[in-house]
Order: sequence, then C-alpha cells, then structure tokens
Amino acid sequence: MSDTPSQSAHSPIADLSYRTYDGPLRTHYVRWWVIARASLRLAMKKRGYWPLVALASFPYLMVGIMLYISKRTGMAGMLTAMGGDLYQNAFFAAYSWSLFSVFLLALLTGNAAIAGDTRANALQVYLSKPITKLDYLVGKWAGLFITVASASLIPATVLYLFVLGLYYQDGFLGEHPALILQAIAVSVLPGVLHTSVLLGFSAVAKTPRVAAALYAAFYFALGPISQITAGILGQAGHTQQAALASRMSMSGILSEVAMHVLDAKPMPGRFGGQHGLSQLPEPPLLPIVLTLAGLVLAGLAIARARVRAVEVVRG
Amino acid sequence: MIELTNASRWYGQVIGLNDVTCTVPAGITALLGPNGAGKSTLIKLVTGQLKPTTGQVKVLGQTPFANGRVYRRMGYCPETDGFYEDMTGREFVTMLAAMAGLRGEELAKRVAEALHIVGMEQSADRKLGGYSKGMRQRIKVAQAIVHSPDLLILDEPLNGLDPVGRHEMSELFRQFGRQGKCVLISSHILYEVEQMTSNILLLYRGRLLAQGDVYQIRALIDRHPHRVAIRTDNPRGLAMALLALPCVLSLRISENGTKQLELETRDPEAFYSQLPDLVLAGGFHVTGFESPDNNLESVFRYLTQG
Amino acid sequence: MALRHANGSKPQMSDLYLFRASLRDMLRPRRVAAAVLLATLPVALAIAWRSTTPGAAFNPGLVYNIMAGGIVFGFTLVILAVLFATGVVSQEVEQKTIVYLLTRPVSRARVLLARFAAAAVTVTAIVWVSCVLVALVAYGPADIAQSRLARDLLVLPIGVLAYGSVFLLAATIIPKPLIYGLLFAFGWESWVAMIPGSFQRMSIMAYLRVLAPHPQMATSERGPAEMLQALNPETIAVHTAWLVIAALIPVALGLALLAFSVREYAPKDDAE
Repeated sequence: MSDTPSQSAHSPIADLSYRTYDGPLRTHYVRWWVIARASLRLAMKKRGYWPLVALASFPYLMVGIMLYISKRTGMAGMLTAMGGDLYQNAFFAAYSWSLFSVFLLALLTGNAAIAGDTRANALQVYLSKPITKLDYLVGKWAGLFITVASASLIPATVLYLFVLGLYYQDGFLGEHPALILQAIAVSVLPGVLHTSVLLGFSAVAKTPRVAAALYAAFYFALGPISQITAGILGQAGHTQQAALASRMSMSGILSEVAMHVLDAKPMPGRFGGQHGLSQLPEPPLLPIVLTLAGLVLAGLAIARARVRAVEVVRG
Repeated sequence: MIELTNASRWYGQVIGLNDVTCTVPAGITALLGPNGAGKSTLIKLVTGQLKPTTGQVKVLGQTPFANGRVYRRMGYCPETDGFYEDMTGREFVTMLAAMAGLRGEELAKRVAEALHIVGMEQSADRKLGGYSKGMRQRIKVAQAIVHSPDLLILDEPLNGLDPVGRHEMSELFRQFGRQGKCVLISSHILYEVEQMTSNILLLYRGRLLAQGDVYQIRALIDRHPHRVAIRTDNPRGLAMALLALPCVLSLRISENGTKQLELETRDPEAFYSQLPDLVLAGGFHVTGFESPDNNLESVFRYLTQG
Repeated sequence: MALRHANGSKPQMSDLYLFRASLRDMLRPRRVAAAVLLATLPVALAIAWRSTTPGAAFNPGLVYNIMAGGIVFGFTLVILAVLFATGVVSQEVEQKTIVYLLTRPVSRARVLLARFAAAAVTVTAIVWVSCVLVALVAYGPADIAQSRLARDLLVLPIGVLAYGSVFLLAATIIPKPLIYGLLFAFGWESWVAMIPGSFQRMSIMAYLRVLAPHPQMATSERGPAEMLQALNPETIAVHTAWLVIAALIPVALGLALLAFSVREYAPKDDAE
C-alpha cells in the first residue's frame, strides 16, 4: 500500500517513487582497492592487532636504544661482534627479531582473508558483483600485504629517521645513501611472503581456524626440517647443501635474503639470524631467492585456483 | 512455564533486551519483532545460553543456564545453521538423543519416530553436508523433538522450508500446543504464525511492546481505526446507509472497477452488530467481507511504526 | 560444577556417544591426512638420514634422540596439542554446534571432558605412531628394545595431557586461543629456555625433557645437534618434574572445567 500521490510528467508533485541510482560511477581501476580497504579495516579491528604491531615494533625500539648507547659510549657491542657495518647490522638485527611477531600478525589478520568468505558464502556475493576474480584476489592480497608490511615498514622508517638524526653529523647519509631503500626493501619481504602463502592456505581451508592451523603447522614444521636436513647433509659431508638446507625455513629464507640486501652480519650465537650455524659456509643466494619466489607464486596460484563463485556440495 | 522478570541483557554498550517482564504459558506463543528487536537475545536467555545482566529468567521454575533439569524437558531448534557436516542426519539426531538421556532400543525407536515426523527418514543416512536448507531445518526440528520435551523453543523453524513443509511443520507445532506443551516460536513469516496461534509476544528495540491475544491487542490500538472492506453490487447505496451509523468514521468507494466499499470504524463490535440489519433492510447483495488490518501483520506494523 | 548426569545417574551412554562422536570429528579424512603427514615427517627424515649415512657411521641412538626428542616431542606433540586442544571449544563455537552441546541435560564439565578425552586420544595416537616408526627406522625391529621408546611412549601422553590441559584452559577463557597457544608453544617455550637462571622452570617442555631426556653426542662443532642438546635442561630434578606435571594437569583441567561451566559460549550470528 503506497501513500505516494500519482505523478505525471507535468504534475507539480515530484516523483517520490523508487528510482535507480543515477549518480557518478567510479572507474573500474579502484575495484580491488574497495576490497583491500575493507580488509584493512577488519584487520585493524581485531583485538590482537595493536599488541602484535607493538610487539613487532619493539625490536626496532631496542635497536634504537642500543645505537644510542653505542653513540654515547663509543662501543658498538654485539651489533658489530661479527664484523660488518654498525647501521646495516642494526637494521638486520631489528628485522630478524621482529620476524616471529610479524608472522603472528599475518596469521591473525590473514587466516580469514578467503576462508572467512568461504565460510560465510560471501564469495558468491563478491563474484556476483561487477568485479573479476583478479580484482578480488588483488584486493585481498593488497589488504593483507599493507597490514603485515606496515608492521615492519613503519618502525624501520622511524628507526632510520632516528639513526639519521643521531648520526647525521658523523656523515651517516653520505656513507649510507641507499640504506633507506635497503631497509624498505627488506621490510616488505615478510609481507610479500606471508601474504602470498597465507592467501593460498586461506583459499584451501574451509574455515579461518583451519587456515591458521595449516599455515602455522607449515611455518613451524619447516624450522626443524631444515635444521635436521642440514645436520644430515652436514654429517654426510655435503656442507654446501647443508648450509642451503639450514636456511630453508620461512624465517631462514627471509633472514638470508635480508642479510644480503642489507649486506649485514648477524649477531653471534642464538641471537643472530643464523640460529648459531656459523660453522657452515655461506650458502648461494640464488636458490634461496628462487625458493622465496616459488613459495610466493605457489601461494598465489593456489588462491587463484581455489577461489570459485560456486559452492560445491558433495554427498 | 517461562517467566522473565525485569530481564535485561547488554552486549557492551548495546542493549539487547531491556527490562522485559513477561510470562509464556502452555500452548503456542509467537515471538515477533523486527530485526534487532531482541528476539534472539530473549531466546538465548530462555535456553540458558546467556545469563541476564539484570533481572531473572525462569524456565519451568528454574534458572536455565547450564541446568540439566531444564534441558531434560526442553527442546531447542536454533536459527543458526551449524552442523557436524560429516555426520549423517541419523547420527546427529542419535547423538543428541543419547545426550538427552535416551538409550538402547528406546533411543533407536525415538530417533526413527522423530525422523519420520519431520519427513526425513529417506534421507537420514546421507551426510549433513549434502543436505539442502530445508532438510537441515527438518533435522534441527527432529533433534529438538526426539526426547519428547514439554517445552519447545523454535527459532525461525520455518526458514528454508517449501510451502508443503511449512504447512506440515506448522501442523506439528499446533499438535504440540494442543497436547499442552509450551511452544515458543520466533518467526518472520507472520501469516504462517497467524495460522498457528493468536498469542503473541511482540518485541521492539529490546523492549516488550505487547503481549497476549493479537485480536485483543488490535482492539486496543485506538489510534488506528479498524478497516473493513465490503464487496457489494451497490457500493454507493450501502455507503449512504452506513453513513447513518455513528461508529463509521470514513467511507471510500473503490474506483478501480471492483464494487468494493472500504470504511473505518473505531468500534468494530458495534459495527458488526449493526451491519446485518442494515444490509437486510436495504436489500443489498454482499458478496465479500474482510477486515484487512485485523491481523498480525497490521498489529505488528501499527505498534512498531506508530 | 556437577559431574553427574542431570538425572542423577552415573556416566553412561551419553558420555560414550559424545566421546565417540568427538573422536569421529577429530579423525575426519582431511585431518587424518594432515596428521599422517606430521607423524611421518620425522620418519622420512630418519629414513633420509639412514640412507645417506654409511653403515658403520650410522648412529641409531643419535638419530632416534634427534627425531624423537627434537621433532616428535619438540614439534609434533606441541603443535597437535595446540590445534586439537584449542579446537575442543573454539571449533564448536566457530561451526556453531556448541549450541547443541550446551542445551542438553549433560553437565558442561562432562561435555568438555568427553571432547578433551577424544582430542587427547587422537594426539597421543599420532605421536605414538610417529615415535614407534622413528624407532623402527633408527634401530630396526630387532634392536628396538635398545631405544628409549618405552619410556617415550609413557611420557608422550603425559606431555599431551600437560600441554592439552593448558591450551584447553586458554580455549575456555580466550575467544580466539589459537594465536596465543602458538605464541606460548613456539615463542615462550623457545625463548624462556634461552634466558639464564630458573626461567626454564616456567616451560612445560623443560619438565618433559627431564622426564624423557634425549641426549645427543657431545661434539666440538656447533650444529643442529648441539642446538637441540641445549634444549635439554639438566638442573630440574626428576621428582620435581613429576610433581609439577602431576599438579599442572589437574589444576589446568579443573580450571578449564570450571570456566566452561560458568561462562557463556553463544555463537555469534555473524560470520566473523
């Protein structure tokens, strides 16, 4: 029952009935950003988000304090115990200490990226809109990447500005013109790897919890596998292969690539990024980079293959 | 059977249920309200899933939260669509029947009966993951009734069912009501609920808006006069005759070709008692007669929208 | 917190049904496949080790200690305990089936115990199989008695109960316990061993390693064996370890049962 008065073309009473939207439509270039922005908002609302961001930033704070003490006392301490440049080692130390927190942050914010949509049957809703599967995947990837990468990137940038302020008059900028770019490149690495691989697991799993469980098992299993494989190969006399195998965990890959990008030396013992395996030779970088790329591509390929607009019911 | 006394429930800063006092007796009671009215909150309080922030909730004279004695006599059909997808329907109902205290031959017998009542005996041995929405709904009802409870709480039990299924379920619930059980049904399908009961609990924005017989409530809503539609061969003549009645407030003759007269009255009792004599005296031929707003939907609308 | 059936009878059919249904839920095909993968991981590594080491140089004790101690105890047991124990509650809430379990005339404590028992049995079976297979690969069937297998088979379920009860407690009081469980299992448990002093006494694994030590050969090289050896504390007495674990399990389990009996677990209407 409608109370709206009838209208004709010349009626003084305006047409109050339902009309379709006739305002401006945005271009198709921002479709993925809509999804990314929604993912970002969701991530920042999660209860553990800010504590984990704080945890990931804490190593950078610690390193900043160490650098300040180093400036005051003139002693670099553990940061240059294995040689190398003070600043590059400092960034590497902060980066490697924050890796676990960044992993947890990725796990918290990324497990439901696609699995949550699968569980809620929201994939059908997304893909019935005028967006492509690529928009959806790029949007999910971008949202998660920004969430994870910013937890490393922002503290690294702040640390760099602090170091710049602290050591500017010592010729820091002239001696390390590219350090900011190296720090940025290294900071986004965990974001790239975790986002891509986690997206794959999230696409495979039916629920966010299963996605988190699968990714956590994968992440933690690679550690002992790599170490023990290295031990087996080392005992058999294949030291090069052992060295390579010892780096083949998620954190190992990230540490090794970062170390090369920053041209840094790790701190000694268990506090270094090398898990105390200083007796093994330096492994070649190419296989590690290829493994990193392979993991990224595999995760993305799985996500692309698994995202479907139809619900398959079996049984 | 169910009593709420000044029961309120907050979710942080949001009030889910606000100072509700009501009693649900034996028979069928419909729990109505728009989205966000507090129906789910009330049901969760009654089924012991939540505790009231203030006030009291009593079911069968006891506090329902984690109370096995209440659950022994209560059957609950939730709205949420959560299942153990790898179980078959029979296994699911059997497990829950066993948890309700049934065992041995009695268990198997009751499970078979429940599945038969909801029309799922043919599909009971398929996995829940492969069921349609309607089948899942039937299984939910089956697990709620398998242990012959005295109290049935049904949250949107007709969702996903086809018209035949809705009719069958409605008849089932009516049967329970006739047996003296207390049946509390939350539903959005007002015309279906109306077929089952006239006893309602109407919630709106967390508050209890009305409770009791829907027709009594309707009669009390003074600001909305009752509308009556009469189909006759001589609407204008009947209209002139009806104008003489003091209880008739307004008249409107339909202009779309149907010979129908619509009127409004504040005193439907007086109007209905005077109408037959007036029709006979004038020799009018009345072919149809209805009160479009003497129903649940209109009561719902008048109370919630003003 | 009542542990009797609501009508006063002793635990019977409903507990059995719930336990069996929970066990079936834990052993779904996908889960079994993932569990088999985890269980055979150390076995595969042991086989690789054996096949790459010449006969005389192969040290079965070292291999068994590293695989059983390092992977079965240090990884498989812990991660399965996190996943299964936290899932006892959070999986039910997530898939919205908790509503059925909590509106039955079975006490909440009994419901939780039945599901926890199923989880504990499942995890124990997986780690047992893993340990036995590792022993078979390392020692062979003829010499298996020389291994520490019997002792490990006794301590593994204790470890499952210890970790499981702690993670179960977390699951009953924290909405999304998986992250926190992982943080504890692979963050705290690792870092606390590095802190000098008595901090290691705050780690469950420290006590398990006292109950089931897996010593490796002393070498002059700093390799993975040395790293794993460092995880075996020698300062906690065996009777202390037994006492602490024996106290931890009932306390954590009791608190979990209490929390589950009094807290609300209504699933959210939205997906997230």
